[in-house]
Amino acid sequence: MPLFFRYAFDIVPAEENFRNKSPVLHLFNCLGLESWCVKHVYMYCYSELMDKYFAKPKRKALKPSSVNCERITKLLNLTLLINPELTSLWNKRREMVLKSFLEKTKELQFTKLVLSRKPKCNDAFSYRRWILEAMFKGESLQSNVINSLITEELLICELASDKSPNNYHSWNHRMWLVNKLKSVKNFDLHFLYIKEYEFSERWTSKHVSDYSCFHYRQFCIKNIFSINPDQWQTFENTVNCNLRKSFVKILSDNFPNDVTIQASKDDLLTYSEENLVNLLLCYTNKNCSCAVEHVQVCRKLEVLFHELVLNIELLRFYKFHETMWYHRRFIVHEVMSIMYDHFGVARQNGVLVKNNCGVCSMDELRQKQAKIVRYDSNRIYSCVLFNILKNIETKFIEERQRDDDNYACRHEKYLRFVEGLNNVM
Amino acid sequence: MAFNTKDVVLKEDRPRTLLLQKHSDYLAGYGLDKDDFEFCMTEYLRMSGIYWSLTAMELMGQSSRMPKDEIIEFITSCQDKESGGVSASIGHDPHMLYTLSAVQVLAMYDRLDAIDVEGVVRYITSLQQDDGSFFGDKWGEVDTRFSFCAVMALSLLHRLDTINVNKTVDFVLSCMNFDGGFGSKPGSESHAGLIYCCVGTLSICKRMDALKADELAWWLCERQLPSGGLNGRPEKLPDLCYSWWVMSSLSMLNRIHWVDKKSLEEYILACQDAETGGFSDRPGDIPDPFHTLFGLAGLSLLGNTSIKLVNPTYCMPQETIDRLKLEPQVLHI
Repeated sequence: MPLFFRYAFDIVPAEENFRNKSPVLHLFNCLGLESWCVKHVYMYCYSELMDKYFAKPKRKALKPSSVNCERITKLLNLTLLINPELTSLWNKRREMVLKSFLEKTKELQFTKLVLSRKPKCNDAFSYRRWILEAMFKGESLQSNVINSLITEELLICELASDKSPNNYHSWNHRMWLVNKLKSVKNFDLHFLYIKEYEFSERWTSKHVSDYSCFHYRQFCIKNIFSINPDQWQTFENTVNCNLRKSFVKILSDNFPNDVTIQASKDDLLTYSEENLVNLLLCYTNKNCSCAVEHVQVCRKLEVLFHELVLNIELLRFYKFHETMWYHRRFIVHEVMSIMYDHFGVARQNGVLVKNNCGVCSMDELRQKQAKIVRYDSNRIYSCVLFNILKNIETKFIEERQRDDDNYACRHEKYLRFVEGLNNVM
Repeated sequence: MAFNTKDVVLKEDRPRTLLLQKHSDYLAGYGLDKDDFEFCMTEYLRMSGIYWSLTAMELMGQSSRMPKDEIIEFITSCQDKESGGVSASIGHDPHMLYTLSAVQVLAMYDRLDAIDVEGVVRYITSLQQDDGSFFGDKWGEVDTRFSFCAVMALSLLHRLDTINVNKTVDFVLSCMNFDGGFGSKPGSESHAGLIYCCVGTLSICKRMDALKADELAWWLCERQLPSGGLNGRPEKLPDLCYSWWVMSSLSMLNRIHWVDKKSLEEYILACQDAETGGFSDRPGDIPDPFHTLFGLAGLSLLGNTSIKLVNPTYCMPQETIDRLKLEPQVLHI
């Protein structure tokens, strides 16, 4: 980003004040402080704050007022720019916001400056959340205001995530924002889900060792599971990919060697969601009377297999990255969950047990047999979807092992002993 | 694969033996100059600093070198009369983090009478929310760390009955991820430090059964790098403090033998500063009391007998936990 667009603060290394000039540097929207003066400035500001405004007992401390609020603000600004971990000073700002001595939008600007130097500062993110909560709650914001707040917030997260890899706080903050918007009226949440899905796809493909962004990607994928059916087309247009076509391709490339279910890619493309899901899950009924949501299941699988294809491409290109292998665990886990759910079972302490359907109670009789009978697990492991997944994983593990990727071997062990597939791989 | 692993290489001339006396000297001399810039920069976490230093000294059997009376007086003056909470230092705001540190220090000194215990209980209970989570202070940030602070402090005061323990557990479990790990909030990424907090909460609440023990232990063991050191998340550099957070969690899970203890011990010893004393995050970095405690506590978990036994849940000497008759749960399967 060009310098003049950027609000930034930093301490500039300069051991001595040899020029006898001001230590404050200013260029476009960027502010710098020469390092030789940091100790002196900090000690001066921090001491005055503590002595006057944080004195103990509390009754001896000066309260922010219209007379002194400018002075306190200056002291707080400098001290926090140098040391943004001072929670009590952030709290003082909160008090001053509540008393209208500080303005919320300016506070957002100030924290942006702090984050430009310390992108991992959770106190600054936490303060932004507090300000934004108050803005979302207190005022009935117009949608253009909401939209510009969101754009700004996402930009700040992006800058912080870029400046500091594996930035736990910036990704957490981004998730908080998306979740927060669930409760904000006049806002198209599903469109944001789609935009964030697209953003995370771009970001993860460029940051293949940053698991924090992959974790966020997983959050986006789960959000896509919940978008309205009528927005599916918008989703496909935005991601610019025919998900069904790509899904059907990876399926037909990995069909188990069973003549009875040979279907070409072109055949599969003509299938309805219901037919496709029935083929993949062997026409079995669930253990309960709830109808199978074929379209929903099919779309989840399309998204997950798209992710699997992306993961394969990234691992082939960048090689040997724990992060991408960990992300693959998530994908496999989600596909397995769809199967377990379909067959009415769940994994508990490493064994499959029958799962109570939360919606209907038709399965009560079957529930009396607590442990799963071999028949049920056989149904899972013999279904087409499982065998396709198994083929993909086995082939990919072999391929990566030939490329000396030790994580491939670890992935196989993980599938066997943690995902519980030891007897069927 | 090795060319891609983010890790450090231990040097030949690294420290290989435990320099106990150096560490004791380092902590005894730490922060004596109160006009120091560093001292002012770290004042916002002073109370935890005292806990790290004192616990490290206790584990070395040298706590008499700490200014006991001064510390106790300081803690008394950091309690906020109104809310009952304790702040990091005089003039700062009360917070769950420093309330816990204060209680831990006073518990080790057997001087819980030095603060208004009812005030502390009132403060902590007032921060529990309907969903079972805890605020860190009145401004409302939620984090699983604060759940751990709450149950640990209250259990040290034998007052765990004053909060809704079931809801506390439910909230912590809502932060569990598919890999068995935990993050700071529901949906947050798994992180070894936060895993320690969540496992510790379940250990104190005696609900270790609710964990996905094998999944979690698997993930934790994968934190070990070729150097022997542990990281806290995938593809991060090793950091000494994770030898505590990962190993104490594995210890509560009864699966400490899943990591290579010998190479971890070498890594921890390599993080010592042979000149100044103290431990740092990685070999060659500047030491601090935080890493010094977790280095010593890690070695204690690994069975080093020149350090006192540490309790994996509380990160305090086992003798203190025994004196208080506390029995945090350890998984037995």
